[in-house]
Amino acid sequence: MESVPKSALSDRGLPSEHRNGVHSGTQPQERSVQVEENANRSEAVLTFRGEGHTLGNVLRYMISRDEQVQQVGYTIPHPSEDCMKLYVVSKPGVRALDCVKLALFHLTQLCDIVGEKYEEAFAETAE
Amino acid sequence: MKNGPVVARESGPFNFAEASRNIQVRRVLHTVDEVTFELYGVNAPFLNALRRILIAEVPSMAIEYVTINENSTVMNDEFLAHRLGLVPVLADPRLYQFRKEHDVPSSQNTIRFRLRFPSVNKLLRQGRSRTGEDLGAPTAHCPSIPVYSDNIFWEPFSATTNAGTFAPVALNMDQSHSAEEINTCGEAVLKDRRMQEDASSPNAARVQPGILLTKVLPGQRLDIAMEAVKGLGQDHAKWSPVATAYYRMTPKVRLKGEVNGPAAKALRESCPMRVFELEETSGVLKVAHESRCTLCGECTRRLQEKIIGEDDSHRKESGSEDLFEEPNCQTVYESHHVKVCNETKRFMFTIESVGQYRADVLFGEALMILREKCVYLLESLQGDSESTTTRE
Ligand code: SF4
Repeated sequence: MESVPKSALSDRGLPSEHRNGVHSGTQPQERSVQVEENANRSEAVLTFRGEGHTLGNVLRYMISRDEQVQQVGYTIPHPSEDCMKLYVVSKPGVRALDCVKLALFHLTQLCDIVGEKYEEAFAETAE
Repeated sequence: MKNGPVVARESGPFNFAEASRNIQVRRVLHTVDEVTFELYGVNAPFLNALRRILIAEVPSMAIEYVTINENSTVMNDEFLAHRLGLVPVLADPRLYQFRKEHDVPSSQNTIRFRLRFPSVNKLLRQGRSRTGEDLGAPTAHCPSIPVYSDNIFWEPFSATTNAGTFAPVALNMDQSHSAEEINTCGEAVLKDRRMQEDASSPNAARVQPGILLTKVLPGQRLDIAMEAVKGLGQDHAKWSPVATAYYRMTPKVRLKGEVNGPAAKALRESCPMRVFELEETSGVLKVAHESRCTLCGECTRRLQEKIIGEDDSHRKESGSEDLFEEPNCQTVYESHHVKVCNETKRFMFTIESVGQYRADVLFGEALMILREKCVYLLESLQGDSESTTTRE
């Protein structure tokens, strides 16, 4: 199975580094993620704080494209609570959490590709 | 044991090389405050994440704290404060930091503005021309004077512009001064001042001009200090940097054969978006403006079928994927003559900027924010992976 390369975390860095010398604010929302796994690690429930449908749906979609994944879904149990749950079941022998990481990594790659193509298309200045 | 997939797979596994080969972006419209582009090879969940980020998570500056020193107009303080909050602040949000609860206001996290009406300069001019005259009480003849956002001025932190404290003169309005006259004389002074400020600082802040804030009568005055801070659209729409950000699948309208005569006329008339046109010489129907189609389905409705003299047994609604012409097309409506489809992999994305950002940088900002979310989570999961809770 393809895994997330070590360099994924440092290759391009956080967006603030793209903005040469310009201050970029931190996200004001508190963010965190908690993981619960079953004994053989093929099932995981991730609880996100500070994330909602914006990331939930696209992450669900990216995970569902992985052939090692049997089942994936996300929910926001209650709108007044800042909590998003992601449920992943992978095939036996594959760690569900790795599928999540891989999907996150693929998502960064997708952002890079689209960003690059967008830059190309909009290289000329506005009318 | 056979492990049948429970996941309804929407497309094959992600592959970097394949994705970078397939994905295409084509510029359609590119102005300072609006961009439209066509995306090929991406999927709706990804675009929806970007759309949501554009609306709610790309930061911008907006007026948040309003101190009302004087307001003798008929507009309530709270209404006025709310209106001021919605005026777009034309400053690059990337130059500022978020101001947290206990942070000291500084040029790093706050932009100060001041609204004085009548403006000091205007009052001085008035005073010079009509010294000593009695200030006319508002009468039925007095026109109300509009106060525009042009009267809001930046007050830099370093050199707080104390260009004259609030002059104890009220605007003198009589027959010899029309409202326009006063406005134009005021404007000249204002322009001067703005240009000086612009020149003195590379990142001079200002607000979107030309927005009507309130109307005042002679003798009524406004003196308001404001602080703009950085925020996100998810807290209040005033921080949303886009007027709209939306995407749609590209519509495809196909004729199933040559249509002419009354049927062609009826079809052309049926479309509210004027997608069809008749060939001038032959009178044959053709699809002239495909992208205008809103997928309303009017061109396949029974009424038209009646005119055309067909039954509607061919009509299908929504859903069925077929490979009638091209792959990745989803038929939305179909009749004997026409087929209206959605191209499921080709999207038109439109972003209209409010003014804080140039429209063409917004999409890149959204991409960076999405990317940052992923990197953040990857990092916290990496650290987490050994210390996760295990369930039985
Ligand atoms: S569905 Fe038919 S009638 Fe409606 S806009 Fe499209 S072409 Fe015109």
